[in-house]
Amino acid sequence: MAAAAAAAGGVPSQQCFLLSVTGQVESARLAGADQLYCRYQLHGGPDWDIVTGLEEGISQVSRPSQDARQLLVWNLPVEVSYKATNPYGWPQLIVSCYGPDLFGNDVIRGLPLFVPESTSQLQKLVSWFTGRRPELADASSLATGDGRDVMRVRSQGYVTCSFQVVTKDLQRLGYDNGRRAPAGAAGGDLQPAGGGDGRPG
Amino acid sequence: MKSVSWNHRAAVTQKSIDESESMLDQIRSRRGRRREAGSQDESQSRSVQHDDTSEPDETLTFRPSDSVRADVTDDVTDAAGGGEGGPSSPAGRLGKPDRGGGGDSPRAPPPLAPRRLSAAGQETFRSQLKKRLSLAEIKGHGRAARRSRAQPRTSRFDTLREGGTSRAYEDYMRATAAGRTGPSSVQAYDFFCRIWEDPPSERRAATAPATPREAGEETSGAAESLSLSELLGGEQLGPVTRHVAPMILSRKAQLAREADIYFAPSPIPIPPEERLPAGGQARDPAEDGIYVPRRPHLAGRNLHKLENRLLHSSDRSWFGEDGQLLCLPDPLLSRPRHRDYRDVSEDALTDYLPASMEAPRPADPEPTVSAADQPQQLQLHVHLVAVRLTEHPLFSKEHRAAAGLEQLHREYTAMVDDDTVNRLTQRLWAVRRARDGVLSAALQLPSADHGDHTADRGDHTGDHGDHTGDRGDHTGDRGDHTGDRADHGDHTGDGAEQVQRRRIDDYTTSIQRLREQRDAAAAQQRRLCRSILRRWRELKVLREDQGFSSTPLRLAVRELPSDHGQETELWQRELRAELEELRTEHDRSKQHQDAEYRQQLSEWRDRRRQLGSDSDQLGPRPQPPAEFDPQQVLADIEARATGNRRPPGEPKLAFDLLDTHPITATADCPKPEQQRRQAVSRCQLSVRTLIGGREVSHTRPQPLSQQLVSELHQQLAVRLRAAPEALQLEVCEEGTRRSTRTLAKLRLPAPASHVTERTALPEWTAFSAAGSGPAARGRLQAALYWGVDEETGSVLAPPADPTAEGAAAAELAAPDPNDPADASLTANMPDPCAAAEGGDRPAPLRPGCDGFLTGAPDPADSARCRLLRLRDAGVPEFRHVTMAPLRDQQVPQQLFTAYQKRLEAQSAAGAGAEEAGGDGGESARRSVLQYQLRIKEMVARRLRAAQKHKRLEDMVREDEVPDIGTIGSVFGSLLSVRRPLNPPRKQKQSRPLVDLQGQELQLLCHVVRAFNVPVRRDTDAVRTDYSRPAPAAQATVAQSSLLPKVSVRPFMELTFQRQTVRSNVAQGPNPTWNQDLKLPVTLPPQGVADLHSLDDVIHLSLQDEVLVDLLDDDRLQDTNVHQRIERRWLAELTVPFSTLYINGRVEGTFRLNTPPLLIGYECDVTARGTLFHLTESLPTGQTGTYVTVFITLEPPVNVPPTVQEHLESMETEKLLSHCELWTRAFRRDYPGRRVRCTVLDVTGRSALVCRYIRPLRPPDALLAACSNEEDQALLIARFVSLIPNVSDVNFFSGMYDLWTTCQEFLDMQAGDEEEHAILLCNFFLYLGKRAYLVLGSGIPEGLTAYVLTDEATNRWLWNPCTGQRSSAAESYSSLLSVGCLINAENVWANTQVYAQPSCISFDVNLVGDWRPLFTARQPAPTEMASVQAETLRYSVTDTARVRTDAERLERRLRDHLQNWRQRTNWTPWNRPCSDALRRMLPLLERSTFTPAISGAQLADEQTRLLANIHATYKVCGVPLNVPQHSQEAMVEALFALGVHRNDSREAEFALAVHMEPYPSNIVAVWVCVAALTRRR
Repeated sequence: MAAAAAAAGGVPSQQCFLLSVTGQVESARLAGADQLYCRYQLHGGPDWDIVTGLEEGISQVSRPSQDARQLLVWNLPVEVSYKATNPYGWPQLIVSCYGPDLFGNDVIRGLPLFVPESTSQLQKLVSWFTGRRPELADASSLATGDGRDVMRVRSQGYVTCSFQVVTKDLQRLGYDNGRRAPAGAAGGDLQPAGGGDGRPG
Repeated sequence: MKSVSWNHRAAVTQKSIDESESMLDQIRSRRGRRREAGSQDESQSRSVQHDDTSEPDETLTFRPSDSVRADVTDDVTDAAGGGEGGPSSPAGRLGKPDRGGGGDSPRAPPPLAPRRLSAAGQETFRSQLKKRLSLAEIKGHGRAARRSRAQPRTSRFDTLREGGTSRAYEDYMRATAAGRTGPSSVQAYDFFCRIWEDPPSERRAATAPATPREAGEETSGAAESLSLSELLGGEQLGPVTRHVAPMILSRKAQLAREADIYFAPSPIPIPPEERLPAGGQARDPAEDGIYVPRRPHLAGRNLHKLENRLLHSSDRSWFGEDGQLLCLPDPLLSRPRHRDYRDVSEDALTDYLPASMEAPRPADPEPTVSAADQPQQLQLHVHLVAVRLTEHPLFSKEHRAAAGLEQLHREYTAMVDDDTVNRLTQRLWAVRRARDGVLSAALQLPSADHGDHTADRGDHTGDHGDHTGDRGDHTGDRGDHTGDRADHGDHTGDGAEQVQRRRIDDYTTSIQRLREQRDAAAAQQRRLCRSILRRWRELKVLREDQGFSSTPLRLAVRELPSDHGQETELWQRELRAELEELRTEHDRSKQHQDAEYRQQLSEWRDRRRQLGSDSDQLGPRPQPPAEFDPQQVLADIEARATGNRRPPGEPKLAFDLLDTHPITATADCPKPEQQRRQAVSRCQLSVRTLIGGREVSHTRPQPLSQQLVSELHQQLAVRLRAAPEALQLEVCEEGTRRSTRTLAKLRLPAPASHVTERTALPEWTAFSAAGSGPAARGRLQAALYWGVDEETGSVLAPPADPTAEGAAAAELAAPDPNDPADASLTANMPDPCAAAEGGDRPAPLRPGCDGFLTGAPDPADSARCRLLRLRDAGVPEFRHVTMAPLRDQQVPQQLFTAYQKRLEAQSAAGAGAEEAGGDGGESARRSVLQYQLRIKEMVARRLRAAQKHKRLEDMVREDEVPDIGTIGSVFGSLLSVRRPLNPPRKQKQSRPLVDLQGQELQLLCHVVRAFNVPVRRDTDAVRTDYSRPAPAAQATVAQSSLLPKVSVRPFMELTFQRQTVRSNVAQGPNPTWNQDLKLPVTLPPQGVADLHSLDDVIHLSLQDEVLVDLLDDDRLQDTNVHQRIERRWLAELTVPFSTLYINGRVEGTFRLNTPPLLIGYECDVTARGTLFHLTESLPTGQTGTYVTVFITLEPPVNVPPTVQEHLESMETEKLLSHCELWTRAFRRDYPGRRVRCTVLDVTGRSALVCRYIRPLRPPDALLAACSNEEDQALLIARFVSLIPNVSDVNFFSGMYDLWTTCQEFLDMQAGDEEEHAILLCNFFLYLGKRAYLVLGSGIPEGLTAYVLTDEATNRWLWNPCTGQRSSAAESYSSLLSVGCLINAENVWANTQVYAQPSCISFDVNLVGDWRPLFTARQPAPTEMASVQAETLRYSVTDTARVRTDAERLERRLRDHLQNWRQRTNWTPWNRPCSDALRRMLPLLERSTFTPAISGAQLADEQTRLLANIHATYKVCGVPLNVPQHSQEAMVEALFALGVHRNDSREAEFALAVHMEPYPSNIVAVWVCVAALTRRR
């Protein structure tokens, strides 16, 4: 076990806490989209290291449901475990959606909350025409907040995600996230830190 | 609207025309208003006609004659009636028709119509009216009326002038009424009708005789009268509207009139007296001491205006007593205030809890202990964390040593943490002080009884003072307290002196005790310290001996800062105090001993008397007690102290135990160790838990790591009925065959009843093997705590045993509230004060929550916090730290030491430079380094700051809006030919991989061919050749020259990062290899992202392989081959890695750097051209060696684009935009040509390139060295080329293109091609040459800068980094393309078809060839201050230092060479040859800038110098010339030469270093290394 810990970055297992997230990017509601796939990225701070799982994932193409809700269902599983020594830079999930536009170009249809706007109306027209919409150079910049002052964004819809979050050793290392461990919990101070679904947008 | 002309005196005709025109205008404008119609071209009459027909309300017809007449009559009436004449007449004239028109219009006309009817139309109208009225007109009456009316007319006009039209009308009415005697019916009718009658028409009728035409009109008018009366008849007349013509007055009159109406407040201040009420006295309340708030600022001008306005309305109530305007105080605050968010925390929505370390929240409700009466339900949790073995059969020797070291370190750390020695020392001093207090009190107060009290009190205060002062002395004092209390009890009975003595005795004994304790503790600590160091040394030796290491333990020894002076003082004080104490002790015991001695002596004497003097039973005579010998005692004390404690001056050490020592891989270990490791990996540990003898759990076996640690991490919860006393744990070892062996047993006491999961901390418990099994010891980490009921929140623990705490309390007789040791006890004790008050005691502060109480380290001081902070600040050492350790102990100290070292170096260098002021070699170099560091840091800081300012382009990828050109090309492409006859090549836009994870970066070098390789000169002497022809035959072949002799066997060797790969051997001076050479690139620690910081150099060397025959016996030559391969360095190409990185690839035919003299070789000009037609393209007379290579990286690495920040600039916006446009246009037209208009300087500001060019005076020494101008230029070029060349990418660690000024360049002694070129260009300008800076691209450096001098004879292109010049017309230049020329006035971009310097014209005045930045239309800025200083400061080079440096370098290179040759073990140095070489090197240096010294001369000189040596040895040597960059670079270059690979046993070596000093601390370094083989 110690050897494994050493291989994963040299920090012994007693000196870091673990965060395990399982969940899924369930569905999205984006106006005027008929075929979309989504891509998720997890972005953690410098003191976070992935233990298992994928930091990025891409889903199948989905079509909206044939009812009034027009839901695009992906049910894309997200399973990742982090270890960290510092709660600063708690992982953030960034979901971007892509799909073909009117001309069949594969364009970004939005990070549900943040679709960059064209700088001018002419640009808008041209980008609509050429199918090359403005796109974030690096989607993870959304997680850091650098340079947010220079761009204008617009919301296009929302995505439903649900997670089960389990932390381990958080309390042992003196961090308190406001939750109390049930006394009978078998896994040490393994504790579910959060659950339910987040609804950005 | 055009006003009616009122020049009545003008000619009638003219007037009529004017009138008619004005009328026309009026009509037009009216029509224009109604409907947009009518044009100016229409004829007058037609337009009038047209108007008549189109206007329904203009039923009357006009003729020009009418209007003329009307005017004439008008004039007459004016002359008659309005006697005043002058300017009043027009008003009168205009006023009349208004009235008439307004009144007589049958229907309510549009308001402007009557006036616009004007004179002509109104006249007709009037005449018709008159005719109708004349039926009932009484003539006399009419005359009277007219007479009477003449007067009111003027008055009416007067009133009219005043502006009241209705009043004028009333006056008129009144006057009319007054003129009559009495109204008859006719008059009444007349009155009613006459109001609307126009008097002038009447007057005209009376004065002017009716013309026949008018008579005719009258008849027709009579016919129409009916219709008119009809028009007037039944209709009610509308309200009368009077229309007044614009009143135009002279300006003066206007002003005069306006002066009555308007008031313009003056901005001139009013004297204060006027502002006050009459007779008031201005009183300043501020003078009376009344607070006067600050008045808001108001511009004086506006304020005075306002005051004037108020005063004008004579409103003085606005003014206060002081005569100032009353106003509220200034509402603006002088400084901005915003709410500090730190103040908000009280009412903020979220509760902020300060972070604390390993502490439970005080806010947590404490789980209540379940009541005792309930049936006991206990739940005990056991968390087994890990087992760490400290002794075991599987331990290697090293493990055992490491475990011992760890154990020692643990003890030592505990001791240091506890601070035992210090604490005891402080206590000792506290007791000493207390004793001194008592003693002095006793001395002062003779009255014993009274004195006792005060002394006692003094003692107490003294003690309390100590309490507050030191933390450590509590327990010691406690004993004294009790002693004191005892004293209090009985001091009444005893004599005061006795009490005093006893107390002093008490103190003395406790001092003695403490001293012993302290000495013991100090000795213990010192012993530990020593043994740690010894153990560590043992461990190191062990590791070295066994050749591998299996533990990661590493001891880092830090030296803590200590104040030597203070320590010495303390030490002496301690010694003195101890001496005094010993003296008093001795004195005291002496009395006793004296008495004893006396008694013994008397006894002895008695015995002697009894037994006789020589009896056996008498025994020895008792000795008198020894006298106190201060010297002896002091020596004893000192010896003891030195043994026990750290004497002053000895370094204070701290030990860190780190886990960073690399463990040797199993494969590299010897067999037994491998087996042991296998055994370890097979071994598994488990822990069995027993409660009350019953096994409750057996953990899963967990494998043992190589460090003999088994991480269990298992928890179990046990429900119990009764609380167990203790828990038995058994550590078991799981054998291979499922056999479990108990290693050890240990007991853990049950936790206290308040311990829950939150408060429990895993603790280490030591265990050791029980029974007969093999010795095993270790520690187990476990936490025990009670469970908490999920529903009730109560702790499932046995009720707390009050006796336990009581017992704990009883252990300490009197718990001291100030003692940290008793803190846990006192914290739980009820506060008596609070209890007395009955108030609720606030929740006890917990340790860890409050740094003050517990003395916990301030989080801000912790190493981790510091690490995080520095990382956030972007300090280079910490920027790449990930997974910052959670605990301070694990924060690697190396990071901080490196950082600290850098800071110290910087400050030291700064201080050194300031102190030394440039003299002394070391300080000069240090100051250069310091300057470089400072510049680097500044640039990095600025650019980092700039990079934080992200622009939209950085964040969002967006296509640019296509301009016409792109759209055109898009559509043009649709029309273009599908398959053109001459298809152009399309450039592929490559986007190489950035992500190199999992791939190895390789350096790929394809060597194609070389030509003009030097050939061996000493061929006849060298008896060896691969073909081994007989000497005679060889000679014949050589002479025949039909077949070229195999005179050289060259191969290429690629050296990078000390790794080497070579090509095959080709033959002859023009070899072809066509071979790929690959080398792996060792990435910098931060990975690919930091690839630009790699400052290694790629050496590509051309070497000759020589086969040396080793056969001694000639007879065996036919049957045996026994040869040794030797290599000889011929030439090399060095390409900095940064060049390759920036350009992606380096490709082309390069001239190799050949030393000016190759000993044993010559460039055989005759051999060239015989085999390869290629060589014909070489310039004649060029003797260089050329090689065609292609170097690239595999896989390709994406180069980040150059940072082009739009930072502040010293240029105007206009100029910048012009430069931008110009550059862009040029780049569009000529892609690939390099052009720069503005560059960044080190401060991050951009400046015009022309500002960098300025004539600068070269160092005087250079100017004085040569008289010839050409030689001077060459020498200067040499000087510039000697400044080390460091790429911006390396230097500033980022893709920035910064240009430093010449002074900065000289101070830093580092710069890239541009800086060299600027400096050279500026020097040339000083020499009076016409010099330009050339930007372009060359080989191998890619983008580069050259200097062009335009001289009378030739145009020269100077390579500033090599100091070599070539003619601009030469076809074989290393400058491939010329982008632009720059001088101090302008920038010219190359717009010629070709960019090769040999193909272009350098006449910048040719408009077609060169496109200037500044033209007549866009002139250069008038003021173009140079960024360069006026004169350069050159520091003086210390020649003595240079000499010593040369010696040092020579020693160092020699050492390195010997080290590299370790395989052969023996490196003999040939000193005569070294000396000869050393003599030769200055000549070589001179030859670089003196064209007079040719290669042949050099060769001759060499032959002369080495003649003796040549006689006995074959010499093969290489002089190497490098700008002094660093000694490391020199060592690398020497390594790349490969001379050390000469394996011959007979080989001797010679090495000489020469350093030629140049001004400004620039040094040319020559290294000549030669291998000598004795001739046979």
